[in-house]
Amino acid sequence: MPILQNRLPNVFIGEDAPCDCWLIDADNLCSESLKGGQIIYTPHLGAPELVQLKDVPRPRTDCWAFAVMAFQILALCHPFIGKKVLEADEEDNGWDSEPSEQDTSVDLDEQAYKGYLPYIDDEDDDSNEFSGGLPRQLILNSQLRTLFQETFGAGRLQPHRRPSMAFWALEFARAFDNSIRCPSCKMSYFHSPDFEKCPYCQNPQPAFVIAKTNRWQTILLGENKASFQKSLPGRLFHPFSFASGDSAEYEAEIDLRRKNVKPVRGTKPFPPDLTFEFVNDIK
Amino acid sequence: MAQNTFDPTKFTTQKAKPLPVILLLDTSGSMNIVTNPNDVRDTGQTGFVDGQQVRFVEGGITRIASLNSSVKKMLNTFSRFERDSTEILVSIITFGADTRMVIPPTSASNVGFADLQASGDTPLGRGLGIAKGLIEDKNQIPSRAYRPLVVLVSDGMPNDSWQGPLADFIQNGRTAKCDRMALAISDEADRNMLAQFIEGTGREVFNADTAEQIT
Repeated sequence: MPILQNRLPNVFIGEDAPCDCWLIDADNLCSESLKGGQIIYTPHLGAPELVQLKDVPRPRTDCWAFAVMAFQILALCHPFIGKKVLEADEEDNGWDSEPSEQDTSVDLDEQAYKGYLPYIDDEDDDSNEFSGGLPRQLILNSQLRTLFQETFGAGRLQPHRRPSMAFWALEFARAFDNSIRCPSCKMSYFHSPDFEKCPYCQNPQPAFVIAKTNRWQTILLGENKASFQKSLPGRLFHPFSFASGDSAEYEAEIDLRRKNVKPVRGTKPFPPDLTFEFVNDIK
Repeated sequence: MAQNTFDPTKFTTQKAKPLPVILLLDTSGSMNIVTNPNDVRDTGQTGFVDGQQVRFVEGGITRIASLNSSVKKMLNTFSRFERDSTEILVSIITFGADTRMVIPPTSASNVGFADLQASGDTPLGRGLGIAKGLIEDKNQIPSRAYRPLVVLVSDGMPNDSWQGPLADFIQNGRTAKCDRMALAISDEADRNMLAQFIEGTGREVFNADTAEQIT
């Protein structure tokens, strides 16, 4: 699989579409002890306890870095640069103030990255809020909002409160499976009563199918086509897991005009608890 | 209340902290002296410029031409850097016959740099005064920024009262907290003055027959 590396180190993105994305961490470069070892982190992604030299890299520090990266990609802003940093008084911490005793860097931006300031969307503390970036109602569902709150709210000072990667994988899969990709502008938005049209270009919601089982549901969409084929992922049928959640369990032939879904010729028949709901009429 | 449409006109993102770079450039008459005296054609004329006896020649590369080319290369490098990362807020102040801020604080990618001309004396004190006024102004050089860098480029001896302004610059106010570099363009540069300018920065005075080392 050809790979290319984007600007973030440790993030590798495949060239095929849909592309794979691998986050490869540098844990094995770090020593076991705090003294005499090297703690390596990417600027602005390092967990507070890592940057403050209170702990070594662990899964919970990876969860922090992942959450910061995810937030930046989705919201187009950093989760800790809010009004406390941007609207600071002149007396406050810039290049021109006197350094304080406890932390030599009084620079407010650096304080924010080190976890000394609250999360910009913190439900219990709006002192560092930031109203810019993409509106969170458009890019986060309530489950993702909760994961970010747990990681950046309670999880800022209590690392054990940060949700593990399994939760992120599950909720991103859920959000993805309930998103519509606008055939006109290619942005994606959630399937919800709030969005009858694309919030970015006002194109009407396209016709699509929802495949449902007792445990999961996913939207099936063709690129502007009335008939198309789609794989039904394993997470519709099995408890969510990293290994099999994405695997193609069944192959479906979808006809939006006739409102009809059947297994692709030669592939296995659908299980009994799988249903299909047709949403919107094809033009 | 849910927001159902995206209004791109309301979209803002966090403005990054800029890195202010202030260039304090000598544009006195001596900057017309050529950097390649062995490759020139003598016109036979002589004269007196900026306190020095000179021969007028053709076909040479003057110090000011070299400086102009280096500043342009530097702005190019800064612009490329700006694309990926930090905004670099460039200000350019000249001291010579024309002593003023020729470029106010501007993003490197947006700087419209016109080649500088050289003539006149070397009023370093006045130049420092303009730089001081700029840096003490929080509206022009914000507090939310990386530590500013001031680069002094000179090829000769200053001839106004500069000791007071220099001491004030490096000891008092916001200018005292700036980082500083000094570049001597020629052997005639006042190295004591330049060394004083960078005292405490841990640096040496840079030498350059051209000013490319600024980058």
